[in-house]
Amino acid sequence: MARNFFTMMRSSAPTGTAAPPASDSRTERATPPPPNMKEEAAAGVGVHLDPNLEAVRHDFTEEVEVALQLRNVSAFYGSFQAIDKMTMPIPQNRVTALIGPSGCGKSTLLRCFNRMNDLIPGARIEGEITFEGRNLIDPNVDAVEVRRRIGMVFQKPNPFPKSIYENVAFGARINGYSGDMDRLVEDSLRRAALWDEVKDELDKSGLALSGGQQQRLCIARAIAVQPEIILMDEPASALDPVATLKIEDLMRELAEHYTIVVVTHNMQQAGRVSDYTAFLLAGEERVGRLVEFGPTQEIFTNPLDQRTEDYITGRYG
Amino acid sequence: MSAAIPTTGITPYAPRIRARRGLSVGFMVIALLAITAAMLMLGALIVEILVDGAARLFTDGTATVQEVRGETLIDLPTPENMNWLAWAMPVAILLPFMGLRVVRSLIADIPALAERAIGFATTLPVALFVHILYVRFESAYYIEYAKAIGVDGASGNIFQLFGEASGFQFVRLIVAGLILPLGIIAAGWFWSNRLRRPSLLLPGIAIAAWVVYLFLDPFFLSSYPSRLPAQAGLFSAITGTLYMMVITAAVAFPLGVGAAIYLEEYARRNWFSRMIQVNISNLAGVPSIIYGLLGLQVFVRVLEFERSVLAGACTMALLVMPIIIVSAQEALRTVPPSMREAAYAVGATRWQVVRFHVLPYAFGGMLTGNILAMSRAIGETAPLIAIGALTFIAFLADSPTDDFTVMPIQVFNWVTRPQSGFHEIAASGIIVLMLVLLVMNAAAIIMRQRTRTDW
Amino acid sequence: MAAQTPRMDGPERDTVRSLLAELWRDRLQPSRPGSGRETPSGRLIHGALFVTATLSAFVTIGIVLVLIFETVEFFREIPLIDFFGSTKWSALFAEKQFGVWALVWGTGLIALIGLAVAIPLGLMAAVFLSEYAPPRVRAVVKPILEVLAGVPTVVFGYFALLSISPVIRDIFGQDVGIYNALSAGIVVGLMIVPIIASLSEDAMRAVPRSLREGAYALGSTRMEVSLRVVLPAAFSGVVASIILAFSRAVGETMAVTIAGGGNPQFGVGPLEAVQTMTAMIVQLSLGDTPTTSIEFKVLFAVAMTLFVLTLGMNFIAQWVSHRFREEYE
Repeated sequence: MARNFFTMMRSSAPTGTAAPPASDSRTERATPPPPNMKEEAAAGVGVHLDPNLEAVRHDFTEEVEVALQLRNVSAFYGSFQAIDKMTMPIPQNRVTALIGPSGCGKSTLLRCFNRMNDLIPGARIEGEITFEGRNLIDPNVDAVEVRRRIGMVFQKPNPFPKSIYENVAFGARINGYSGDMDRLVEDSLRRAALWDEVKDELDKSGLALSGGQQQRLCIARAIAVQPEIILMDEPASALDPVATLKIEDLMRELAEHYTIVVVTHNMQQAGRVSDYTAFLLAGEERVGRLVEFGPTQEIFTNPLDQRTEDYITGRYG
Repeated sequence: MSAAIPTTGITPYAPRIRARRGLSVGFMVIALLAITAAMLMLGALIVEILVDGAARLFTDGTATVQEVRGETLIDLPTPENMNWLAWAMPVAILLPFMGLRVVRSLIADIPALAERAIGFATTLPVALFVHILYVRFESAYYIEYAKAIGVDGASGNIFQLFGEASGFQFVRLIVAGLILPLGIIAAGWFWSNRLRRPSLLLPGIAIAAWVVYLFLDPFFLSSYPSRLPAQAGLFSAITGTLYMMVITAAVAFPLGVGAAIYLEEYARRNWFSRMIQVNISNLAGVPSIIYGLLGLQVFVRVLEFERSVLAGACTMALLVMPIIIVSAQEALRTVPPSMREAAYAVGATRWQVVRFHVLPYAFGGMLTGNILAMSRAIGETAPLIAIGALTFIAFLADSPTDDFTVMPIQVFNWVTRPQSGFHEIAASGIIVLMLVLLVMNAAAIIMRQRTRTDW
Repeated sequence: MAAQTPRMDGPERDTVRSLLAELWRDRLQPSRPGSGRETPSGRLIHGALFVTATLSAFVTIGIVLVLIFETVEFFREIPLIDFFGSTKWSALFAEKQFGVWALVWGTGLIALIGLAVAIPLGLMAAVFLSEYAPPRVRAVVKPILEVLAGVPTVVFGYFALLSISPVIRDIFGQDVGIYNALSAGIVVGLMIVPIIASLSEDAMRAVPRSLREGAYALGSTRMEVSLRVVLPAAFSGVVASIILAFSRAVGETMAVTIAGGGNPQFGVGPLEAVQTMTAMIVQLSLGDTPTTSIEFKVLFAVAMTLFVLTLGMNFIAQWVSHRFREEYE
């Protein structure tokens, strides 16, 4: 189902009215730039994903495959709408950062990707999230399988009150992994850059580790079930700077094998670790909308939307 | 980087997941079944007791007298005036209620207090009057009734005592008969006024209580125990329970609340208060019969209360004190510290803070805990058996130093008799006991909701 | 900008000041160190409250003293070995034997049958209420379960003797006695279901949400989350609830007296009549036992055993729930 989604826009489309690649004409329509778009950028290559959303995509300079494709995704908690009609791609084997002020629906969006919102009474999702050709939101799609293939790491480290070994082995066990468990645990811990620190004390409780180690244990735990995508909900916000740095390095390494979506409050972090960035913002009525999506470097150095620039330069609270 | 993780083994997913899903659902069904089983047992218990006990507790309420000792039925019609008074009560309850509804629709803003006052003023006197009239006719009728079925003097039925016309007993009868229906009528008015519009539900409950009262067998509730199941009654047990509960509450409530106030508001967090706290939670786990032995030695023998109401009540007070302390502590903890600080900040002393700022807010919760503790005490049997409460009491306790019996002991006594006639009246006794508990627990729940404050 | 506050100046202010000073003069006496701000009556109240709080300690001391006093008297007449070293009990016969193990057997048998009923029912109920039930269902089901805890034990005795026992006789044959350990055990189990269900549910609900989410995010089904993550995490609370329920079953009196029969025999099976420690105490209390007789004293020796057993279990439950509790931030 991989499609060549991002194309070398700069070379093929010299003007803003360039036709999008034929591969995905449904979501990409060329429209005039919105009024608040910065002049010089608008003169270039910006293309709207959807005219209603004012979401802006930059010119892309590389070809990547799409792991998740969102179309008009809205989420509700009871009668409260948390996010409204978001449309964007999540590129494969890249780190995508979701940024935006508190309450703009970043975490809600992330939790839509692996149906974690199913667990909250009254929560519902509308729209379409395409994963390997199937709509994840379809009630016929098994949420349990979705979560196995789209793993999640949470804001606060939440290791199970079991040994380190059991923490890592848990997911594989319940999913019926029949291979060499010791090797899986070791590999997962190595990938999570934790192996050297804990290899002699695998029987110790996961809760006995430091905060940063706990978070890497949670990452190892997520890796062990061999997901394709790993969602991270502010994975470093509860950690000290040194531990944060380690997690960030880890994210870069993991991006070789996995698609990573990370929610972060920390602008520098988004700049350091992510390849692509989506900026979300909630309006007056507290409904989160996608403002801009594009390569991180572009978003940070040359944002198309005034609000994006305001946020990145710290003019938003 | 290590070698790639082997991907064999976990795949294929779909069929496995379906199986796991099924397992999960099956597990939920089993859990539901377990809960249903527990509730079914409770249901079976209630049904069994109702089926066994209803016959003796309720009469058919019509003109014929039930068969006793294999003799033929005696036709003794209820007098006309009793019949129409029975119908007058629902009217007396409903009429002012409906009238108030009309008034309310005409005058938009009646103050809630005025409405409540009107409600009480119109319902209570009329209902009381109807009830007193009814009891007058009823007493005369039941004296004839008792003669007809041949309740002998030895069983000491109070209607016969009333036949000898002691004014004291007449008052006692009215009071006993009035507590239930009038209490509910009053509660009904109180409650319907808390709702936006007067609700029909609560007058409905009052009328239902009246119907129950009409059909209650007067002899079971007003007779002393007897060696004949057909003549045995629960009167001394009911009065004994009431007597004991009043004393128990009077002893346990101040002591328990005092201890709670000390622990929450006065005590420093040191080894002593911790020790007391641990001690209280351990006391709550001591088997009740051991309290009985404590009461036997301390109250019955050392303090020489003998096997009296007082000894029983003191023992019971010690038994329920941990419950009262813990619930009072919880009530005190719901009062936010800012409340106390605000009072201290205007120069109140510690006792003033407690008395005027903490207690008024926590009092509802404390009262709720007290009612729950009392409902525990009503059902307790073992400690009273240990201190030697008797089961055959053919008189009423007049002072706290008299011998006594209580409902569960009477029930225990009847259950352990071999004759099935006694088993039936044991079930009737259990219905009365459970009804009392139901009313108390409902009162506790209502009180908790009424006094709950959201900070 | 702060709003402008009206200010008083000159003589006006001085008047107010002096008035205030007069008002508060009595109140603002410097308090003696260590006395806080308590007036004499305040101290009196403080003292009275202190006394009520210490009363609970005296209750414990009273229980222990009462039990020890008569128990010592008992062991002066009957050697320790006859009490703890024998399995024969015949306190009411001419040839008296006081082997407490006969009573312990009856107590243990009924309590274990009770646990066998209550653990599956209670734990299942706890898992369902905590993990599966929507809030509205829980709000209805939990109070109903707790009604079971409020039913007087004598009612359970009636139920066991007149409802359960006949069913057991229908199943196992009419040569099973009407008094048997099984029927008593089943109602004791029903009685302790709410303890296990309620306390275990509390423990499971105390498991942080993040832990459940972590497990769901790995692709667990609800059952796997319940049984493999939540239950182990709440293990100490669950174990404590079971121990407390066991302690309650051991101390239970009326139902086992009514339905269990009066047959203090070591080694009898669940379909036969047994006698528990508590039932024995009731039996001896019902008769008019002279306070100087050996039967009266053995009452306290048995009660002492019961007290130590239940107290020990309560302590173990507290220790378990503190020692093995997982600390989450």
